[in-house]
Amino acid sequence: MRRATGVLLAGLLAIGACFFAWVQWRRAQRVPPPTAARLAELRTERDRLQAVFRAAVLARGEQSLAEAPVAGVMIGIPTILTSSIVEQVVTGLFGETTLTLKNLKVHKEGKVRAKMLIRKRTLGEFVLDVNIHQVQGILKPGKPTLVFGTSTVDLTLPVRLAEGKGSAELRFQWDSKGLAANTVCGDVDVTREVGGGVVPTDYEVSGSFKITAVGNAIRLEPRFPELAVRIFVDPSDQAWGIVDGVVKEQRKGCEIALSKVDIKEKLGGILGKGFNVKIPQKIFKPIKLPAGVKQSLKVQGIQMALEARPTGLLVTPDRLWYGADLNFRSNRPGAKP
Amino acid sequence: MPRVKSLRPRTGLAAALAAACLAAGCAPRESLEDARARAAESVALAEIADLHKLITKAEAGQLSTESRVAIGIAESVSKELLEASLPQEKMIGDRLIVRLETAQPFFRGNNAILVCRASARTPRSSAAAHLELGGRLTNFRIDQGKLVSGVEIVHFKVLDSSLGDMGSDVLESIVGGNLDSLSGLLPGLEIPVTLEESIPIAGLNAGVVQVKGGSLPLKVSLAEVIPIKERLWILLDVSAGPWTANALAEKPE
Repeated sequence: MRRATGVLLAGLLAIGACFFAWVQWRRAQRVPPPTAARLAELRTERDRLQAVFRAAVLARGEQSLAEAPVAGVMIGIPTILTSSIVEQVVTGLFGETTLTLKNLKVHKEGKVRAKMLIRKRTLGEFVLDVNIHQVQGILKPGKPTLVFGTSTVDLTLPVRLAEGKGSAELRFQWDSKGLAANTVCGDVDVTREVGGGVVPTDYEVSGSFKITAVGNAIRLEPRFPELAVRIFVDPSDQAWGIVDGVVKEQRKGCEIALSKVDIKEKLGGILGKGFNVKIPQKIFKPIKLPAGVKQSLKVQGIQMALEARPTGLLVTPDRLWYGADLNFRSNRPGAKP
Repeated sequence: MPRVKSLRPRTGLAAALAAACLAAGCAPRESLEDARARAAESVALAEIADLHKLITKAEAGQLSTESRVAIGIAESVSKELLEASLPQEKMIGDRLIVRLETAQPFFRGNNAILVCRASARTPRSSAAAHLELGGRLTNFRIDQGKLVSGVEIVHFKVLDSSLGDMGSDVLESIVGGNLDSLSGLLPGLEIPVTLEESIPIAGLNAGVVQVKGGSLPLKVSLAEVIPIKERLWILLDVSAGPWTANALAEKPE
């Protein structure tokens, strides 16, 4: 038993000696640690190379980096991306804009006088009523032009009232005056449904977006005036045919009398004035650019509220720079406010 | 720290182990300053080598920045962010409780490094140690709209321990060869920036004027991560469109 214990002890001592030797060998393998001067030299070289890199980046087009507002969080959004966003939002909205006028009533009345033998006499009185049930115009935007200022993006957008359609009820009343007119023509009261379109018209929308740092992101706030659009109704060929038919349906003598009314000319005159529509400012909405500072964050299971304090906003030809410092508020129990 | 199975004490065995341990412990352990200097040299050399590569890339025109969204986070913000969640305790393999106490990120020379201080103890004994862990922030990615990184542990140092110098050396050797076993110990970094997936715009139903709202989808992908001059720069490729219209709002405004 003692012998066995002795062998075990010897074995363990041998293992211990080997382990000791291994530890010493590992320590001996270590090269001497770098001196403070060596570390300073390496850091100087690293800083020099960082400066070289920065110069290379600036030289390749990142002109505004040197002027960007320095802050805890800096976000630089290329103007080319901002332009793409603004263009697509604005043209997207205008491309989906319809102007719908309903229940418009227009009225025209008058007398028709003609020379009868030796003097002019009133042949009759007409009343022309047009009840436009609905006329709808669709806007089509063109390619916008954007110009970046120091704190704004100016936008000019060509817009065409490109197409539309409508329907109306046309009522023509004729009241013959005098024996002769009443004998030849009598009274007429005709109602017809007609259709039409709108006359294409070009407009230009001009205004700007103010670039603002609102809380945690860059926002583009619209500043546009109301856009006044006038819709000109354009009766269709079929509608004109119906108007012609109203006259041609009458007896010959009456047709001559009614042709003096020139319903088409009267109708054209009424509709030619157009109908005003105001496109309100609120068609333009604020646009929040896609990168901003978070308002809350979960780190290792701890929920934190983040408060961004904007430190600067810079608009340059290549980027919109936004800088913000952050305040953290951890929601863990006992955390400092 | 593995749980040691208790043995029936035997005088000879105890004496042998004590002798081995004392013998090994006689030689002085490398000082903390020396170890740190060594680590600092290693990091600086890696930074210089990486900077050379980065400069070559930039000068060759292979580093496109101007068309990309640039996000820069200061070291100080990342430190505050990481430390706001500390201290945190984590159990490693049911045998070791590690309490992360401080975290200091370094964004320099195209290297994003995280150095943490921690204390460790075993649940069933009084053995304890103070540790320094170093990690490299890697695998930056956009995950469910969040800009996050992973961390790869590259450095483990026992600052002091109740095990003595030899115990510390042994622990460093064992853990140093199996740093993967500590994965998950250090927190990754989440950049506190929102990345929108689309820009929604409301429509307008103002009677005569009807505008369909819609949204502009955004495609965001990570292009470059450049930790430099105490700031972590992240460059994102962002493309917008095409515009997608919604149905018209039913109620007039």
